[in-house]
Amino acid sequence: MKICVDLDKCAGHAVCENLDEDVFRLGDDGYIQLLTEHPSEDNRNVMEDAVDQCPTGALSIQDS
Amino acid sequence: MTDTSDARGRGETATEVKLDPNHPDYVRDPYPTYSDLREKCPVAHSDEFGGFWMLSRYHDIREASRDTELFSSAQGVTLPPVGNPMPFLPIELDPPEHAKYRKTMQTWFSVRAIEKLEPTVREIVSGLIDDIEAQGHADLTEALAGPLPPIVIALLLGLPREDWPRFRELAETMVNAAEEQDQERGAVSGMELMGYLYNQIEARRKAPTDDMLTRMIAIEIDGEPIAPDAVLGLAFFLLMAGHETSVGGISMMLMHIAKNPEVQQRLIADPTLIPKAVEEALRLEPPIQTIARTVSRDVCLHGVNLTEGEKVVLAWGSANRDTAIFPDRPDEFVVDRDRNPHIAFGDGIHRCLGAALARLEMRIVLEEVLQRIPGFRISDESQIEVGGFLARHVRRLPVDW
Repeated sequence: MKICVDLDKCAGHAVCENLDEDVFRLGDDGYIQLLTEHPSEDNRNVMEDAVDQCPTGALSIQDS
Repeated sequence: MTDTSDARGRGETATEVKLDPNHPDYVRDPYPTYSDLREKCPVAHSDEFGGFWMLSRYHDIREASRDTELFSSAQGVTLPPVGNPMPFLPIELDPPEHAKYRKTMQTWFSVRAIEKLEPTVREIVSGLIDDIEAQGHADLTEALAGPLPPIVIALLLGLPREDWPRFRELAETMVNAAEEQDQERGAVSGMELMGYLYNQIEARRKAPTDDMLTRMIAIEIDGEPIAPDAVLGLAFFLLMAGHETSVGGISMMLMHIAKNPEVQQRLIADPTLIPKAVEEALRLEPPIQTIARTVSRDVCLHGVNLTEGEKVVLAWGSANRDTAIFPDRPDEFVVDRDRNPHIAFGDGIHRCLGAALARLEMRIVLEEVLQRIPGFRISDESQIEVGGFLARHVRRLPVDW
């Protein structure tokens, strides 16, 4: 599983960071940074919540 | 939800449930009406406030808040309109203009930037509790929920701390006058508040300081210095949204905690649950109950035809109790709710800029009251007054401890 953030859409709401601080971190520039692009498969539910709850639809999951 | 090809007349569903936003029962407790609407009439109409539609289901509200092309914010987002003399910026802008204003401010309110305020906010809260601790009773709206947010926003904007009772009263009058549809009173307060901010901004043009008002003057839009009217629009909105809403959030959270001794005991026993309690308070009682949009073209929603230019109200307070998302006890304060994707802060590009600040204030208030006045409870249920179509807060919250 690969998680992607579209920085043209990200508005820095940090909803994802609230869901998982080990994967998402709001940078000093006000945009989300990924601490890992490949979260563990055990974490899929949380990642799906992050994609679903991102207010601007900036996150997506790519399955290889 | 949307199906523009369906051109049937106004569906019967539109009149099934009576939606009267001025009815005292609704103002006191809109949640039973929301529940009826979600079930039977997801696109409801009211003739009040010049006529409007209300969306009540979580999914519909989220979809609408993300479709900025169909659901425009540019004709105002408060219904009935709050008497703001100029548009609230950036919330009353659509793309692409919206991002130009919001982008710069995004970093000012990031979780990281707001975290730094924690010691200051705690000191203010602690000082406010010092004033009441020995009394054994107090009105927590008057003593705590009312003063804290305006003191903090004054600090951020750079306004003199002692000015807070004045701008808080003006802002509250604007919201109350809107709810009572007294446009003249709202406009008078709006003009006075604008005049106050104008003078503060002009003073910073002459003598810049290290505060948000000064930083606003320096914003560039399309490579040009921001227009003076736009600075006023930003400052006005930040001042209003930056405290009225948090007064509501804090007062309603304290009311629920005061009414739920079991929840209170659990939080005292396990303070790590406090952030979850904050989220649950926001879910159960979003201080901004509704935000308005204007449909930019004719559209059919759930078989109901809406005409270009009509107002649509998104009821966050209803979305947050939708059983499709919150199947487990949606009307109860469930402190350790497993998933809590509430939209008390709204959704889409206009989602609350100050969410991190609101959460910080709410968390610190809850931590401090549980430590300093544990066991606080409502002294007289009949004295509690909550209400409002647009915005809810507890006007009086007398408690004993």
